[in-house]
Amino acid sequence: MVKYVNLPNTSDVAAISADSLLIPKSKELVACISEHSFCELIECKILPEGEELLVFDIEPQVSQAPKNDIRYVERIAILVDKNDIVMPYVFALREDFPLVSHLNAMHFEKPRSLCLYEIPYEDLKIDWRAILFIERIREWLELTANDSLHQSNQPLEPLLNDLQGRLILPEKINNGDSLSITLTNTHNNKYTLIATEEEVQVQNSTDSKFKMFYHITPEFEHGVIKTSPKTLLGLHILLNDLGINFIEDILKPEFNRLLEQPEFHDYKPIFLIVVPKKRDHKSTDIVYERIAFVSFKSIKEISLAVNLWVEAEGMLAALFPQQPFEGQKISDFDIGALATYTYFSKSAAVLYNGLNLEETKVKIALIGGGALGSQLFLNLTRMGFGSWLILDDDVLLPHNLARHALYNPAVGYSKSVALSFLANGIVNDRKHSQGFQDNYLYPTQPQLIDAQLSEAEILLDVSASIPVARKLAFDKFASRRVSLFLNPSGSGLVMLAESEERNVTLDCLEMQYYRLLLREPKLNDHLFREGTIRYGNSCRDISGRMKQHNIAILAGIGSKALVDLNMQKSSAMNIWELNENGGVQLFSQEVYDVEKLNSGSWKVIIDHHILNEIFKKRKSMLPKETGGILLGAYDMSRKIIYIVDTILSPSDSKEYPNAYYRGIDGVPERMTEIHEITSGNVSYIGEWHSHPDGASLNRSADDDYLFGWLERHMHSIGRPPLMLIAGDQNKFQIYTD
Amino acid sequence: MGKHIVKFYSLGNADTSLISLSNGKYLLWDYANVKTEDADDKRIDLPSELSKEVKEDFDFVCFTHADTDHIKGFSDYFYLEHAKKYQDENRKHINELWVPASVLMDTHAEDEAKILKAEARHRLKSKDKIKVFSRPDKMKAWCDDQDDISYDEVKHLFVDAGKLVPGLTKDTDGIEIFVHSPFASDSKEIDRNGECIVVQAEFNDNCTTKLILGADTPHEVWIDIVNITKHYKHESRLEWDVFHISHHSSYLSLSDEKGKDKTNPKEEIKWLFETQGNSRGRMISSSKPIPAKNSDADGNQPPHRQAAAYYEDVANGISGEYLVTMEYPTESSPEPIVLEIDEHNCTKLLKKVVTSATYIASKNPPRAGKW
Repeated sequence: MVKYVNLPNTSDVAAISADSLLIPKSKELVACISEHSFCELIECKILPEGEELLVFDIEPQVSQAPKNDIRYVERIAILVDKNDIVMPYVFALREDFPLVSHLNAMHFEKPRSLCLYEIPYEDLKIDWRAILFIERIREWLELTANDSLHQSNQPLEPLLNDLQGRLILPEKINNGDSLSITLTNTHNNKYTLIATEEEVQVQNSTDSKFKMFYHITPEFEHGVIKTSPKTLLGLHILLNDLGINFIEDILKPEFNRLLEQPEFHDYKPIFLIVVPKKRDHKSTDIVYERIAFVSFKSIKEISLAVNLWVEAEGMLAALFPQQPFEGQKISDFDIGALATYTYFSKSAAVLYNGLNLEETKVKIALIGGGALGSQLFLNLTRMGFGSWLILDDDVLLPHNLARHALYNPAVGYSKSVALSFLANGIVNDRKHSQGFQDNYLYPTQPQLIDAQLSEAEILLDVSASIPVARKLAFDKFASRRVSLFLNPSGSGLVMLAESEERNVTLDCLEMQYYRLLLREPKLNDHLFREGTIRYGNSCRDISGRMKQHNIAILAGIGSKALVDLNMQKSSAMNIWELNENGGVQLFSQEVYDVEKLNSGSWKVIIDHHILNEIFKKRKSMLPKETGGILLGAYDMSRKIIYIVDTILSPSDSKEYPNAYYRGIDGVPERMTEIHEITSGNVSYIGEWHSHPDGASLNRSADDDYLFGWLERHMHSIGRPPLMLIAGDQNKFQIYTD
Repeated sequence: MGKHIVKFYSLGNADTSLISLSNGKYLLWDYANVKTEDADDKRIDLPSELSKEVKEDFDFVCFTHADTDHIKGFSDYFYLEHAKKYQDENRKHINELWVPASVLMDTHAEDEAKILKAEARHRLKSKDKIKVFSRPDKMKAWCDDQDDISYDEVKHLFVDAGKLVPGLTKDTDGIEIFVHSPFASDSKEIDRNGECIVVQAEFNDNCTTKLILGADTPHEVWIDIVNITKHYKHESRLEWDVFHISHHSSYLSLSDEKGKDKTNPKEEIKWLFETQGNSRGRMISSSKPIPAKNSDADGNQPPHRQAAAYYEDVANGISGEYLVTMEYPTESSPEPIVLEIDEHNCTKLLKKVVTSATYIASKNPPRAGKW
């Protein structure tokens, strides 16, 4: 015969008919049980406090040889709360119901209480149906029979289910450490304490002084959740279950160690217990649960109470053999059981963002700590990404706060220094970043800035300044350059990234970027801004009206791009455009290698994409000559001509085997477009034409004449002439000043 | 390993069990299409239930004996080799027919028993697609009496008690079948119940689940089976995890006395139930609901509540279950008892409950209309 155990104080209560139940939830459950094919109602009771008890037999679907002894029929009791504030309790009444995991600790051992759900009752109420609850009981029994209730990817059960609060600890802690603790918050009967190891010079009261004793228990197979101990005696009992004798292994030796150090006698003890939990006895993965047990009375008070120490002539001494140790007195000392947390760190940041050290360890110099730069920097800080140097000579002004990542207390201070302080505070690491207030173009401390920049692996330009980008491109450092900036309307983010080998430098990338704007119709408005069309760049203007939500989106995209870029060593050119409804479109363009030639007193740079187009056009028109207009840009200070794009032979051009007349059909309109699309950065720079196979690349008499014509016109506007002749075997020649 | 499924159909006091092996083969144990047109008849429509499950052919069909409640309607359902009128293309084929010798030897066979006899005889004559369960020497005598059947040519089709049925092994099919009955019997009269096919099937799961199919065997024969088994030290062949109770829980399969409230079985049968049942084993009674004391049904026809009371005791003793087909899951709407046997779970009795509305969508609602 199967034996059953009743809930305490219920055996004497008389059973009633199901109709007499009052709580709606009970009635619903009883109705379901009565209809259910695999349930049979046994009895109902109304308990003195108003709760209602339903007892019934249930048939879970279990196999003949289960891993845990769950029977074909189990007797279950449901205890329904009068006010429906707590979830109904469910008990398995069989006397020999096995001790399995997912049971709740009650103040009585049997009948066993089943832990059915891990979600709060409020969440369940939305789709509450009695049938679901009953089926969950069946499912619990079925899975427990199979020992598969706890999913293999589910975190292990916590050891205690009713902690009184939390304690936040430094990363590195050792047994015997002194901690300074502050109560920071109390809410809903839970309190929060933060602990620091910092030496406090000031004479604080000893109220906040604690001594921390750190101990690890033997490995423990996770399972029954227990209630937290309320006194030191409860702690002793709990630790006994975990394989440690609290009094002999911890209390006596640790306290006695402090006997000769009276400065610590008034400190209160915290017992930090670490329990290595295993999923089951076969498992090798260990999860550590760390709980802090805080005493509210000092080491001295406890030691005196248990006769560990005696007070004689104003001094404390160890126990005399004649005075018996009164271990049980520890029941007089209340404790709080707290969950423990560790202060944030860079390694935690990396871990919580699902990254690894290899992906995040990189030295970056951030040039430009403005709206975009500051938001990028803080995003990446939270991910534990990078060690940073920040260079910006601006001071934070009030209006900056509309888009800057800093806050009011930093107004009036150097942006870079304040950013560094804030970021270091986030990851709790003084070495995470350092801010310098200086200007990259005109540094006040050039040697210092140079020394700092030369240590960086990536030079990240977020200055939104073409001169900065140019200087950076030509500066002496070997580091990889990456430039990130917004377009004038703030609707797009541009990333120009060199490869590690720096084959194509930032300035050349900029030119290929302009070509992308010319070739991709959807990007024609990219550099456009309301009002006037500006030369050069954009977001330095105070009157910019970019919206913070756009900058946040783009800074996010830029952050991801940097993380990805760090692992991938080749160059990249990307434009992300936001559209009105929040969508983002990516325009990505392959980066082409460049040819750098000296011609006359100029350096001429042309990339392979353009060259290929020219050669292709030449070949397609053979045996006739062909040609076109060259478009590009100048760096007058460095005497560089960049060939960016071409307008291939306009339709009214005349092409002959030994002559070429470049036409003008559609050219004026196109020139206007080019000027608008590139915001004036790309313009007419010269002409190209092809020579037939076998002909040399030297200038013919006609070519000379043409070149003279170019010279006159270009000189009159202060530009050099440029003529390119394309020949066979992919050879070409450039003529300039 | 896959899953083997054993299904017991709710047919009142009649038997049909289907074993679906994990390799796709089907063994059918008896066939009784007993459902009537009566709206209150809760027994299932066997042909349509079977056809839902078995799309093509039955690899093995065993008729344990030729009583109506084990063969009813089979000649309307199966494709029979011996006459064209049983051969339209909707019928299901029987790849191998198993019958006890009594089917062939019954000179008074009538109606469907006669058809079964003809089918068995035809297949035996063709020397193919049949196994006859009996003592070989008894069969020899019968063969010698036949003009057109030579014993030597067909003796490989006879299966003797105390042996495994050839053609099925644990390695190839996941099952082996040990034959307990019919065994040596000198009686010249055909006693169908006394000579039905009784087997123990053993599956290849981790628990080597053992299923005893008891047909309509009376207690006298059970006593003999137990004694013979013990004599040959084959006790393990009478172990069981699932016992298909004989004769619809009639007390006569336990003892000659019904008992007032609980039947007290004969010693040998006590041994069979009380020592040979594995822990948490199950007993299946293919029968009407167990009658309450003094109710109309509480009389001479099985199931007998006294026998049921005994079986309940046995179940409690091994923390197992005693299930009645017409009571499962409820008397008001019985459904087939389905047991799954698989590598990890050993035997699991399916007890599924529906909680979502999706299945309602796939049902035909009753007619809607103005009146």
